[in-house]
Amino acid sequence: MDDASFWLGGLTAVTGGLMAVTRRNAVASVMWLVGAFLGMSVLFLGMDAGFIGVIQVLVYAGAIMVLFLFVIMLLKLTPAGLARVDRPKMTIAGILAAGALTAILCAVAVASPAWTRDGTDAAIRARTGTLVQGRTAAVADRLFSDHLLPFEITSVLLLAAIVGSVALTKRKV
Amino acid sequence: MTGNVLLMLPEILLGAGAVLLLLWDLRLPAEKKGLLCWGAVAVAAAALAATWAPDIARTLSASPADAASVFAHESFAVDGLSVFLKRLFAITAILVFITAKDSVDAFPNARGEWWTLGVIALLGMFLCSGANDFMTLFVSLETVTVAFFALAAFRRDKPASVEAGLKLLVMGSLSAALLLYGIALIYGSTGTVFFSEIAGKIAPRALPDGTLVVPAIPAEMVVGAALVVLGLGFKTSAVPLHVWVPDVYQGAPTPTTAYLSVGSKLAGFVLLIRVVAMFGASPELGAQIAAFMSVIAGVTLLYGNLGALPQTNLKRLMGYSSIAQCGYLMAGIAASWEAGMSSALFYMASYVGMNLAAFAVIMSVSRATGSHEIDDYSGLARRSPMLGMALTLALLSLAGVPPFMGFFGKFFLLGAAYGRPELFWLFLIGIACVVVALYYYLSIVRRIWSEEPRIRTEIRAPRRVTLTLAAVSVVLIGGAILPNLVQAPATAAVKQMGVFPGKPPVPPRALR
Repeated sequence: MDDASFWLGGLTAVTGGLMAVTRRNAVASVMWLVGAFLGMSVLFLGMDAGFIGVIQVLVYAGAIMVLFLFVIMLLKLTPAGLARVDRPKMTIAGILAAGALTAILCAVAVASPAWTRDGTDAAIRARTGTLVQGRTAAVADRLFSDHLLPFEITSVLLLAAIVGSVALTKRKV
Repeated sequence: MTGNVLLMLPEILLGAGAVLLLLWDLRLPAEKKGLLCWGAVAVAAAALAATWAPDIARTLSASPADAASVFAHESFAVDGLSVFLKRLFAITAILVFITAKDSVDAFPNARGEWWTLGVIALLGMFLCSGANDFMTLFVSLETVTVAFFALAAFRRDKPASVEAGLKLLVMGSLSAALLLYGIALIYGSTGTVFFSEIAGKIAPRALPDGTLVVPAIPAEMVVGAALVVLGLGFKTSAVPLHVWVPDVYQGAPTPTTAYLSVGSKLAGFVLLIRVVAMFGASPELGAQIAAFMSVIAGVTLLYGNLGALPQTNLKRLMGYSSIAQCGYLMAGIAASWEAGMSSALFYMASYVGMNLAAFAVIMSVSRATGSHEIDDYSGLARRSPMLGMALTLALLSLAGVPPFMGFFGKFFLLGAAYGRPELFWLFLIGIACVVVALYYYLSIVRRIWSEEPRIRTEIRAPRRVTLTLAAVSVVLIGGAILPNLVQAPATAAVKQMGVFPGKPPVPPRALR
């Protein structure tokens, strides 16, 4: 992974995340979160995990964010409607929780073998023999051979969802 | 290759049929939408006929590869169990479609989609009955569930129906999460999603020198298996994921309730049987899961039967009754030697008949009275002897009164529990619940026959409904006179699966 893509992705993700938690407008917060997801997607792409990178955009930045927006619009969350959290106890609890999470994540990362091992392509290939983890081709191989049937059933599932949602919404009752 | 495609012929027909119905709906003028019902019946009948195609292919084909019973990289089994259930599902759909025609035609909105979604749900049930790996299991199950979300909320003009759809959606998502978590744990500890491979990894193996190696079962495998059983409990309406049942049964449009109470439930049970048979490859895991299920069965039996006692709405009562019936089936599967599983299949067959007969009467009566209150069934026998008779027969069969098929079902299932000395407590609960159930089913029968109707107008059911009810009644009585007609294929189907959880170390005691 080259430095440029790491800094690009990392800075975008961190900035997006910080902005998302500090915005007062819920819609703005969600849009910044989309930016954070795009940044993370760049990080995945830089680590040669193309499939996860694309899924990150499709599922998180696409589907899940749309769901968030729907919920915000259904609840009519306006900045004025959100009570300001002024209680110092809440702020302290929030900082403590965030700190604890950071500590746990750092501990797990440092303890993992990946921290000390050489992460270059050549080193990974020397250890595992291949370098296919996270590659789209590896996923496609399994998906279109061993798991072809469930993949095709998914189309029936989507058809049911489409017909159902049209039936429930189209005509005036 | 041709043989292989024939194995999936019923599913292919259903998929094509669903799309054709959808397109036909577009072309049909509004006053002819009633034809869609017969289209859906024709598709289900074609799928029913196509379940015999693999047998024919096997007879005709010379090469052993074509005769294989497992399709698509072991994802999909076409064996005795799946074929038995597919025939039940197809018959269920045909009965529901025929008896639901008037109710669905009277819906104020979007009638056509009800039939399309019904056929898609049937396709999902067919896929469930053959699912042989966790991926196929999950997507097939969700196909059924998603179709039923829409079918339950179909009467958008009625708040109760929308509420039913929403409750189904929320509980369905919760159970899907449990199921997926369980699947992930099992995948994590075995590294595969295919049932045959998982069974191979946890089954005891004999080494060449004759010693037996029993693989240790990691804790996450046990937790995963328990979560899968719990998650499937949403479909089978087992405690603790049963909470949606009474509300959804009462609120959903009656045709949907009829379909849901049989089709969706049996889809859960066929998957449960397959998954439990797989866990049973390891005697240790099999015994643990069987113990877990017997506890669920006991609680479900008590909850369903006691909850049914104070009900005044017949559809709601059928919801509690459905939970109770689930308890009996779980008891049979938990007792889990061959007889338990095959009696569960026998009971499922009788359940299709008795539950759908009851709902056919409920649909006809509610079209005339506009009510589902049990009070409005008083004196039904005088308003329509045919409907009164059919409902009586269905309720007596559900209660397990001797001359009907439901009696043999309960007799076999509780017999299976009796055969396991350590499950004697479950047997006692089962017997106690039969007595409780007699009370609430028979009190309806008493009202039908001995009370004066509040309104004396005659209730007329269409001839196709009365003919269907007559046919079902004949089967319910005939299945009791000749139980072997159903019992034989059920036993053969279970024998073919080969693996049984926690096989009793001592031979089961004989029933006196």
